[in-house]
Order: sequence, then C-alpha cells, then structure tokens
Amino acid sequence: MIKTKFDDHYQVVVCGGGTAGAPAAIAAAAAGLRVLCVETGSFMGGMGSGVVMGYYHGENMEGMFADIDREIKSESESVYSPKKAWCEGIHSEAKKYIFEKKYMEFGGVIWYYSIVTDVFTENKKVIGLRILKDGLLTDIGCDYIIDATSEANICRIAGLPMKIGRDTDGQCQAYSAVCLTVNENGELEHIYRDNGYVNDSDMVAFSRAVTHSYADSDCKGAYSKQNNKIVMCAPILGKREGMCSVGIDSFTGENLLCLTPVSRPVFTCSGPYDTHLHDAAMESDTVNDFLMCDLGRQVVTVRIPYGAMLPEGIDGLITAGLGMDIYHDALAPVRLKKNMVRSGETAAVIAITSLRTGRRPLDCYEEVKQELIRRKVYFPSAKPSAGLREAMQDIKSAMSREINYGWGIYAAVRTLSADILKEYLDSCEIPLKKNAAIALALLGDNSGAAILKEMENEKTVYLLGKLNRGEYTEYIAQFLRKDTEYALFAYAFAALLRGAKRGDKKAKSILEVLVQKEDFAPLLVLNGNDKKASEDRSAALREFYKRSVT
Amino acid sequence: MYDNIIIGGTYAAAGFCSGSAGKNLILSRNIYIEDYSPAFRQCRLEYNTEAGQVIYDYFKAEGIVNEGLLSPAEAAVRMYKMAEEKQWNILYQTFVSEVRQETDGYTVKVHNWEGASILHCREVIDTIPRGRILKKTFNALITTETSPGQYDGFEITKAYFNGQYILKCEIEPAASMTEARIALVKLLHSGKLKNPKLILTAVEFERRLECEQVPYCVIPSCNDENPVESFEKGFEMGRVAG
Repeated sequence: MIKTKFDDHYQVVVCGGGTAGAPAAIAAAAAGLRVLCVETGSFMGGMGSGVVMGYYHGENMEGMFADIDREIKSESESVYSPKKAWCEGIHSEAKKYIFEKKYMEFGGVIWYYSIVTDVFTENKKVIGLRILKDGLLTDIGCDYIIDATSEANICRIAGLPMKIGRDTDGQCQAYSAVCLTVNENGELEHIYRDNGYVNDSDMVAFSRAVTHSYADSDCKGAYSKQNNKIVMCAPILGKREGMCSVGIDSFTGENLLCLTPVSRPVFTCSGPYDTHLHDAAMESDTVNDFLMCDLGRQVVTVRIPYGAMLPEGIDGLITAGLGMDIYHDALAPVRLKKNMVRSGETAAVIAITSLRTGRRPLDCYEEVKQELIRRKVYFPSAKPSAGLREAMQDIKSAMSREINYGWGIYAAVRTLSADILKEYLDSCEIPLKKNAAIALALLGDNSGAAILKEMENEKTVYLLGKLNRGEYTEYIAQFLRKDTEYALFAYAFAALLRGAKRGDKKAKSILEVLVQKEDFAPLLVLNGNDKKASEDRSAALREFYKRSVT
Repeated sequence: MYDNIIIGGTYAAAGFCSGSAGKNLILSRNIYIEDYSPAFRQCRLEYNTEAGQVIYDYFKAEGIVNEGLLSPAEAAVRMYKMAEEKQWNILYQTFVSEVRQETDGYTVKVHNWEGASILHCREVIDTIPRGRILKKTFNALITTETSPGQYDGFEITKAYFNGQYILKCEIEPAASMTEARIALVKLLHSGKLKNPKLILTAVEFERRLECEQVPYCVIPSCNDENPVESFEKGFEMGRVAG
C-alpha cells in the first residue's frame, strides 16, 4: 500500500509487546529513539509477565535485561504474593510493572488493545503502518518496524512469503491454554497442559481451539481437586510456534541438531530441546535421530544467523521472537523466553545501528555484531555444549551413562566406526550395550537389532523402522493396536510409512487397511483422557499417511 | 450473512445466543470472556427472570457460588463450556473498525490476523460499546490485613476465595492501563494498606459508560450489576430477535 501523509512519525514501531517485543521496545527507547509499541492485549511482556513467571531453562540472562531482571526480582520480594520456587524469584506482576515503568521512563509510547491493519511501503521499503486503536484507524509513519508478533503478522500483512510447521503435516508445536491459580500455600502459579495443535492462520479453527481448550481448562476438575483456586484464565494463549517469515537466511534443524555453522551469527541461544510434541514420530529424521540420543533435556548453545531476522524482499522490517525464520525442527530451544528476550534486544540493536549509520541493516552487520558482543547478547566463543565437549574426551565412558545423557551416543555416531561400536555390544554394562545398539542403528547398521528389540519402546520402533528392508515389518506392525500407548503407536505408524515409501508392499497394505477405519488411533492421554485429542490424532495420522504416500 | 453479529465476548453475548435461534456470530477482541472476570469485578449474584435463574442455578450446581459471590474465573470457564456445547460461532482476537447500516442490515468491517474482511448481518448487538466514561476503576486481586471498606481513593471488597480481596482504585477516565498499573503498585508500596500482597492485576478496566448513540442495538454489560443481569438482558434481546 502506498501512502504519503501520516498522522505521526516514530523511528521504530514495535508490533507485539510480548516476550520479544517488550525487550525490543525498551532497548530501542533506552537508546533515545522515538518508539511506539503496538499491542493487542493490555500489558507488556506477553507470556513472560502475564502468565508464566519464571524462565525455566536456558542459561543466565545477559545483555541489558540482566539488570532489569535483577530489578524485577528485587521488586518481586516487596508487595507481591508468594511464588513457587521454580519462578526464579520473579513475580509476573512485578515484571509487568518494571517493564512498563522502564519503558515510560525512557519515553516510549505504548498503545494497548490495538492491531495493525496495513503496512505502507515505497520502493520495497517500509514507511509506515495503519493501526486500529480504540475503534479508530491511525496512520503512523516510521523508519523501522520490528515485527515481534508471535505469527510474523506484519510480514504477512505486508504480503511477504510465510512458512509454518513441519514438512510432514504442517503442524506446529502444541499450544497451551493456561489458567492462573493460587495454591493452598497462597502461591500464584500457572497450570496448563498441551492442548493440541492449531494453525493460527485459520481464525475459525483457532477460535474453536481456544473455546475447547478453556472449556476444559480445569482438566475435568483435576486441578481443583489439588486445591488450586483458579483466579484467571490467562489472557493470552501459550503458543509455542506459529507462522514465521522467510528471511534472507534460515536457522534450520541441521544448524541446531547437527551443529552445522550459520552465516553471520548475531546472537546466542541456549536451551534444551523442549519438544511439547504429542507425536514426535511425525518429526523429521533429523529431529528423531537427535531425540534417539536421549538429548531432549540437554542444553545446547547455538547462534542465530543475522538473515533470519531480516525478511526477504523488503527493507525496514526486522523480525524478533517466533516470527524469525527459524524452521520448526530448530525452534524448540530457540523459543524459550531468555532467547526470545535476546532476539528482542538484537532487533532493537539492528534498528539503532541502522539509524545511527544511515545504512540498511544488511550493510551494517559488523557494527551490529560488535554492539551485541559488547552487550553480552552474542558470545562468539560459546561452545555448543559442555556435555558434548566432555563426551568427546571419553566417548566410551559417556556411552556407559544411563538415559537422559545422550552426548555419548551423539559423539559416537559422529566419530566412532561401526566396528568399535560392535565391540561394545558384548559389554556386560547395560547402558553401554544399549547405547551402542542405538548408535549403530543411527549409522544404518543392524548388528544391535536384538538389543533394540529387548527395549520394546519408541526407540526400538523408530530405529528398526530406519533399518527395515522388510524384515522388521511384522514386528513393528504388532504395535498398531488400540491398546498401545499413543506415542509408541505413532512411531510404529511412521516406521511402516517410511518402509512403504521405500517400496515395502506389506507395510503399505497394513497402513492402507488401518487408515480406512474412522477412529484407529489409541486414546491420547495428556493429564487426562481427552477423546477429542484422540480423534484429532487419527485424523492427523491419516493426513500424514496421505501426504507421505502421495 | 448472519442474522446477528454480537460485538464483545461477554455474558450479554452468551445470553443473546442462548435466547436467539438465529445464525449468530460473536466477535471478541481477546481470547477471554471480556467482562467481569478480566476486570476483577466481584459481584453478588441476583436474578430477575427465568433465564437468569437457569444460569444462576447452573453456577450454583457447579459449586462456584459462595455466599452469593461468583467465582469469576470459574464462571468464565463455564461460559467457554456453554459456547462449545451449543456450538456458538465465535471469532477471537478480532477487532471491529466500522459498522455501516445498509438497506438489508449492516456490514461490519473486522480485522484479525487473516487481514481485513467485511461481514454482513441483519442486526448488530454491541455489548462493549464506546461512550463517555462516567466512572473507571482499576482492580487487583490481593491479600491484606486491612479490613474491607471504602478508603481515600480506593476500596477493598471481599473476593470469592477466602482470604483474598479486590482492591479497586478509582482513576481518571483518560488514564491508560500503564498509568493505572503504576499508580496501583505505588499505592501498595505507600503503606496505606497493611501488609498488602499483589496476586494479579486486572487486564480490563471496570467502567460505567454513557453510551454513544448508534443505529444498532447496544447492551453495555459494563453498566450491569452482575453477570446474571447481563446474561438476562442479552437473553431477552435474543429471544425477541428470534
């Protein structure tokens, strides 16, 4: 849309005042820029201040928000209700208050209950936007827009290409409808479960999902029975993933899980692979190979490429938070709050630097990088994982450790030969034997198949499915029963599907018969028996089948 | 084409949809039930009509009425349940920029993350209308050793759960949410309340309005005394609409 006259002008407009947007707005205002933050809700900080209090996961906060965090913790100790220990001393209300206070002190302007309806461009450069506030439309000119909406909505309104979800079936990570409760000790806490998948680009589907999730938000009385008093349905939905922009660069599963380097790194992220997946079976092989190593809870440190924050085909638009070009496979640790805060501060630094130098963001990477190093948002020398470093020094002993520590397997797959791993199969140390069988399977060697079968779990089915050339089809098919646990069922389904795609006729015919049935998937148990979720799963598996086979 | 478009995901909207057999659509700019609960409006329930008694009895049967007080958050959960059971059409996070009268009804211009669109309907019922603000308070859920009562600039009333109170701070009609929140925290730090502990602040204001004159129907649930009254008004309007 072309526009020449505006009602007002800001140097930076931050769209979305949530987990990434609030830090972006505060950091930009702190640098003395004229900043407007546009937020559909009525407070700053998003899930981080409105719902989920602590950070859970991720390494210590650095950058300007380390100081702000200390202030929040100190404020939290004053006139606020008690908090659970895992809240890391942070009360959500103290965070709202400090964020707003800081932002106002820096001269920032915030418009609540407001939504962006149009983006104005000129010669492929953003020059302003139209905002609906209090029922009235206002046209605002700007030098930079930071799109910190959780769905890259500004990119979408600007008509830029978008992407969503995993390749297999287009699904994102599960969302949660959260309730805020006070427990019997008077502590404020949040309760939630993973409610399922929803594609926010379909407002009707999204709205149905919201109604359904909150209707069952007490989980059929389960929380009330624990003496949790529900004091508020959270004002925002706990979305872990949505649509994202198509950047000049993308951060992929290969970058995260195989530790392949990125070009022009800009900020450091760390966290575990916090999946929230009902059906990890439908994830890519890259993700599943990683999960088979039992690395789901291990913290990895990665670098996000500059280009993931710069949408392709337009100038003056910077993405932060979930709207960055982070592919589904790589999102699980990146989306954690501290990383989102870093993305917000980084986006502000890009705008600040670009305005200061008068150059396009693409042309001032070096200055941005230096500033982010100075602010301790980017650590060029950070290593991917202390655990991996340790495992590489003595792979055999790392492989001898029990579950939830899979760096041994990860290191073995990358450095050891199959012959060495085969020797471990005869070991009397059970973890070593088991982990060697897993590593061999990941290398495509079936020498440890008998040991995998003894495990009889998702790993068995996934790994035998990977190795299967027809010889394990019947074994895998035995798990496709209604009384099988859902996750195992889904892995068996995916394993046979993989076989069918490779030409395993038996696997294909088993699946063909199965998907004809209306409700073939086992009941999905997630903090209660949710029949709808189970029906959804059958439909999803059917869709997965159709997409894969056709 | 809808028979009725109801602006605001409120108790009045729920009442309207319960009373009407038409094809209705509720537009909510949030994802939550927009009145009472998010503003921490703690009300004593009363009913005047049969429809009001039905909803009152439902809340009672669900065990969420205590000494005449309704648990606002639990009641909101019941509204979602009602919406799901009765399969009401709702669009959340949808903002209205314009309502225009046409020869056969109205067009409503809405904006959400799908972009802008025009919806058609025979009648519009606005339950969150604009207008001159007569009174505005910013509320919070707290614990305190100060007794309930009216104080200089604020009021403390009993909340639904024992030991919890609603702190109501009267503010200027033009005050923003940010200004209100900062003022409330200052009050808590001021020493005017004995051992106050903030649990949650509201995400909506409690307001009394003089509504703007508009050609379509208006049920300002913010002006009602309690959710049952809003539900009753909506129900009656829905029943008449058919």
